[in-house]
Amino acid sequence: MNLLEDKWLPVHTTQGETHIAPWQISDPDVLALAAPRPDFNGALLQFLIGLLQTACPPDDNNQWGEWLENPPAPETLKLLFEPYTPAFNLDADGPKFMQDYAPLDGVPKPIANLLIETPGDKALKENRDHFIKRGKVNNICPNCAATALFTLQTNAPEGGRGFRTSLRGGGPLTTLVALDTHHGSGNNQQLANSLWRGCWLNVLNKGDLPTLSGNTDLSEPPAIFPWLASTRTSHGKGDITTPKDAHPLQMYWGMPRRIRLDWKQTTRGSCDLCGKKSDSLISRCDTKNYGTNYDGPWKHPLSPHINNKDGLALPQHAQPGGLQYQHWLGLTSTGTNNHPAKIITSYLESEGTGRQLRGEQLRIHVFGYDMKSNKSRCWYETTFPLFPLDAAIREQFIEIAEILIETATGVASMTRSCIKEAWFKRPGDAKGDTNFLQEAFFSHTENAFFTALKTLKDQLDRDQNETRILREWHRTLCDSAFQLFDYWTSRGDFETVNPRRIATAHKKLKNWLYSKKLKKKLQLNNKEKSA
Amino acid sequence: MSKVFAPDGPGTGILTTWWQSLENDKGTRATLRRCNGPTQVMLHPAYIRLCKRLEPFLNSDHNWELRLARVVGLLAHCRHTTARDLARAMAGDGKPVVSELRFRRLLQEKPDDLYLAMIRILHMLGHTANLPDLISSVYYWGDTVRKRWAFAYFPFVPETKTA
Repeated sequence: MNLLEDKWLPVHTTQGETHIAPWQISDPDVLALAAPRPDFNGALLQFLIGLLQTACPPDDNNQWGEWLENPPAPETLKLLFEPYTPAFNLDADGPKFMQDYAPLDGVPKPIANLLIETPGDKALKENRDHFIKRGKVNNICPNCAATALFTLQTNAPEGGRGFRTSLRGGGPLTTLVALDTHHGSGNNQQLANSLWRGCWLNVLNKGDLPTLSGNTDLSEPPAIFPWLASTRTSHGKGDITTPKDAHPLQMYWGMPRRIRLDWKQTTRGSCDLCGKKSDSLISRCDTKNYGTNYDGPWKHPLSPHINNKDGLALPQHAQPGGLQYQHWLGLTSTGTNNHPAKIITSYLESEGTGRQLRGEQLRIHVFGYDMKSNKSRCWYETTFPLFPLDAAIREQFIEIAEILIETATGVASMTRSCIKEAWFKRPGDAKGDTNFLQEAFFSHTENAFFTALKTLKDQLDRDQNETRILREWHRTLCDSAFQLFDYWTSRGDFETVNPRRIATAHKKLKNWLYSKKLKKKLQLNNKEKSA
Repeated sequence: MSKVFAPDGPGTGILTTWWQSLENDKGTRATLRRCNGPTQVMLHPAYIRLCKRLEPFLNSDHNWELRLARVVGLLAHCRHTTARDLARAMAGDGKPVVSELRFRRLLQEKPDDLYLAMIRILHMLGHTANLPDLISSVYYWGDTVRKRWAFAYFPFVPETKTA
């Protein structure tokens, strides 16, 4: 099986679900990926972006824009992909896609080990596979095996001694640019969404390549596709692979784990992941530790980074609680300590030379695992609007956005603590996770937040002032805080609870919401109110 | 919810005017005050006249006749008006006019038992009430009103150890 020639990519088309070869993605009927799992979709999207970035990056923004509007014919892509075909064999003799160059002498493992959430040996021994049980996935088809392999190599978490994490650490956050089909300007000029556009929006220009981390002097294929040569193993502490040791494109094809699919014991039947019938279901793989150990100042173009206390930029990871609009600013604008993904900034910050699209029709598509070392706690995925800004208003826009987020964070936590005071006699001693209250506050106010930002942008563009937006935001915060408070404390049997505690907490919340402190933060003073 | 008995609602206006007219109709007031429940109020001609006037606004409300009777009966127990909300007035200044224990029991009253409880409360308040508040609170008695009352009362009543 070859991943550039065979029809293995699961996709939605205007005619329904089917499988296509990668070169067929420019067919306008192909709408989106249709893998059986969201992490697979996220990985396959990055597979396609990496493939286009490697095989046919645009010369400049003109060519990029040309292909965005008028996708190349599938046959053109087929020709462009052809030179890379040898690197994409999954099972032939010789190098195998994302698998170790030489046979491994390790212990064969069940194929489920390719999936990130599969309980580890220790969890099984201690009988702790409560939520994700062992034995659910035993046989998978080659399509899913290829996807699982790429997903694991792209997201690899810690996996025990010498099992290396991905180039971006365990379960990195990925931010891609996507077309906004719901909130666009609404004219007929809008670009329709398709898989091709979803990928092509995220391909950088050829000229950007030398600006990425990596060594462009290394032009041999193994510098890009590490499985084409013996693995750079990492038994010793100094055996690391830094940007000096690999081509920038290897960021799209990183291979931290040593794995070989076992094709000797295949069976016939349906795949445990996608349900498709196959003649060669795979049930085992060989694995070995001490694979490529990526280290040093790698900066993946599809991921946001954040400085640690030594000033080193590290890839961002999703945290418990998920992705809400308080994270949005850090993902879309450069701050003192954070760097949005290169692909995002290429739309926002290159004055005049930046990529331009008609109307505001872009969103940022964010996804990733929340990992606790090798345990996957959650998969998070969401989209946010992306606002292209003129340099003249950017600073002010960000300043106001920061105020909105900061005040929302304050009110969210105050609402939570008041609700707790209404619930418990001694709220400080109350156990249990009440973070959901803050999360609820953010999801409650998310629409208002982005509406406010859109209005803000329009007003700044027209040189109007922003007091009205801040005043409306104050109202939104108060309304949502009271709504949540009422919902969680005084629903239903009001007479059976302790009305004094509720009333006292309510009063506290009210005082705080109308306090001078909050109003000052929102730059509202009472004089304006009476005026 | 219907706004007939909102502070500026049409029903509130009609009932307030009627209440003022009781000054010159002491007999009606006395009879209404002697009623020991809304069912007796419902037999009084004054109530029936009010029903006729308010029916167009209320006839889609569930059980509106009985709810209106409670309001009418309790209005007869008021002598003076104040701008202060009922629950706020119960909290008093410094020492609560209505004790916390009694207030909590009042919050637990079902609509059917509210009538007699409120007569005692009005007595404690010196037959003085914020009429629009009394009208809407009694007519719309339920969790929303209970909550509003609790929020108005408790912040002004210091916590006591016995409560």
